[in-house]
Amino acid sequence: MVKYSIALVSDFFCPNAGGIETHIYFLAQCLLDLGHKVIVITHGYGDRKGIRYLSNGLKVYYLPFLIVYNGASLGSIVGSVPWFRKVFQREQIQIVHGHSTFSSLAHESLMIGSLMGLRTVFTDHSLFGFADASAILVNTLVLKYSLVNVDQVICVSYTSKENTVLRGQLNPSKVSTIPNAIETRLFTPDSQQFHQNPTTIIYLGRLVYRKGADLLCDIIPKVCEAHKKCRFIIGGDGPKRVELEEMREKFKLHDRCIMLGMLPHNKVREVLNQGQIFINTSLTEAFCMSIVEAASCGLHVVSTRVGGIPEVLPEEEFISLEEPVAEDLVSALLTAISKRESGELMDPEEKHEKVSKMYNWPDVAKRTEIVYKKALEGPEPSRFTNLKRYYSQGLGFGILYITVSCMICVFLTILDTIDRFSAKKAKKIE
Amino acid sequence: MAWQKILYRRQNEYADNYSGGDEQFLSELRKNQSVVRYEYWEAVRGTIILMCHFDVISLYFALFFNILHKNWPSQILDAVFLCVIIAYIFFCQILALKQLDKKNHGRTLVTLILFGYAFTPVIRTLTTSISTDTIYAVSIISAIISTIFHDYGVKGPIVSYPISMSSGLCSAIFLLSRLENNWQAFSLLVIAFALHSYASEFRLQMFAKFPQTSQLISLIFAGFSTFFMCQFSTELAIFWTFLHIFVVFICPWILVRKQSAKCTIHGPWDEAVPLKSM
Repeated sequence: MVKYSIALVSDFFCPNAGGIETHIYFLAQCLLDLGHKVIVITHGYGDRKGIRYLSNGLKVYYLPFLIVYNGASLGSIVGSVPWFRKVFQREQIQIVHGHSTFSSLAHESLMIGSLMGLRTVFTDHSLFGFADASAILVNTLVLKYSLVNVDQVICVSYTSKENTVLRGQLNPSKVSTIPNAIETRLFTPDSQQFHQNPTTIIYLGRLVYRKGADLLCDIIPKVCEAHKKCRFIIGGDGPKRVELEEMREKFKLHDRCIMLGMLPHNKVREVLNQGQIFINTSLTEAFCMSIVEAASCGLHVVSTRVGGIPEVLPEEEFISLEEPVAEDLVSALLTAISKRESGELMDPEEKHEKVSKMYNWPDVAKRTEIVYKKALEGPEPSRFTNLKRYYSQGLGFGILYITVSCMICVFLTILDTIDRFSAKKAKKIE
Repeated sequence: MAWQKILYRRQNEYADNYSGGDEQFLSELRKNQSVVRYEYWEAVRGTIILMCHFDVISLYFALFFNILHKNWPSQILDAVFLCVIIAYIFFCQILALKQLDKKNHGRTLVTLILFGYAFTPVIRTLTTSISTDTIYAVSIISAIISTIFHDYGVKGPIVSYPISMSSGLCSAIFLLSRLENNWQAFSLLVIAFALHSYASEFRLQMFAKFPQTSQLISLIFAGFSTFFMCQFSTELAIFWTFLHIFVVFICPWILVRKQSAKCTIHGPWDEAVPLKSM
């Protein structure tokens, strides 16, 4: 079997925790298990700079870039050429794999990598609308140009694929759908608590508008009024926490609505095991790992029908889907509660088994491997075609990209010449 | 087996880059669901509202200059002052949407007038030491800022009542410093205050309830403002006329022509809007 050497690039990686971070970590691990050579390139986090090895043998480059906004680095492009070039050459990288639209580091590495003649793959983790100004700017100024020279694109759900194809004006056959996965061994059910605990509804996630914190705030008092015994456990923090606490005070639900605040990732299972029903109120979501985690812990999921969520779990059996309207979600929750009380919900152990078969990282890595193969089988990247493709995306901003690409090319040539000279010198001394 | 848009079962017979072929791929895409299409005359009527405010602002400047240079007797100022008060009463009695809290409103009004009157000497001499040209330049710039942020009855991110009102008042106060007379300064201050704080709502209700009359009044305003501008500078008056023609007739035409290019994409990836329950 052919072994590849791959560089996974993103602004978002450990020590931060989140969907993209876990995705990169587990993907890298499974690719290593398959025998490929994998490195991760990210920006420095505080003191964490330079090269580190994680406990699973993964080599991580924490490059000292300036972080400007939301954990994304400042895209200086020309300034980062020497860094990327050195790392790619030193590790003999064949494939550059960037993650997330929000990561400027990923876009930079794709641009430089493709000009260096490497194959490029990009994974998109998020959905964008087409209505607000920031989305339009990112779509037309960055994504359209950044993706035109990428060999293969991966999306985490079919909805996400449709979205990315529209945003980047891509050929759909260039885009593969490979879902996220979860480490099901870390999310095991606890049958005893499942059957003995009073009916408990769990919410885990940041308390922000996009995660539907307002809906949650609307739902809790209504469910508590209709059903006198059920309780809620809310894990997570965010700007909407104050509103939830106000709601709790207003309806005097202190003993029935428990707020845990920010949870470390290793506590998630412990919390999930206390409940039987999981509520997700997100307003937009490309994949939603948290509902898979909940299902793996044996919980029944009640969720809004948005983004890629309907694709993730089979309806009825695992998940109840409703439009993002408080009344509908309340009635879905009440149905789920009565099902739980009459013992109609699937046994948690059985559910865990089924979910484990649906999503696992080795499978994701194998499917990603196929994409890498396709990227390497594609036509040899040439600098001239790259420039031509920028031109084809519209001259306005294309000129900027062409100019920057030319600068990078010149810079790369200069660096190559210097390297050759110093290599010759070293030989002479010998 | 037919392809399904699901992730929980691996569909081995289809490659990962297959997504349902032409029939299923992007089948949930909708275009122009919430797009508003405008008629030409509807758009023209909308632009009249815009020009009406421009005319009123320029009339205010005309009033000020003519009073300052003593071209007009000061009775005209008093008449305008009276008109503003009548317009205010008309607004309270007929136009205001909900019944006003009379006691509260009256108290605010009395306070404002008393304070305004008491502080007029201070306000009038606040910027006296600054040269006249600077005053005029700054005044006109802040008036333009005020018109940019003014509420013309269309919701937009740029509309800001506080910015519009404060820069409008600022523009008026700069001008006041050139006057000699306290009473005149006070009258102009009250007119400016009424103009910048009530104009948008007054105009909105007026155009909603008496559209024909309002359009007629706008036309009269346009005529007067051009006429007074002509007395001041012919070139400016010609420019002003062209601006009117451009904004009222040509801009709506461009809008209607360009409407066919409207293309808003909707689909399952849009951020849902949670409906607030009652």
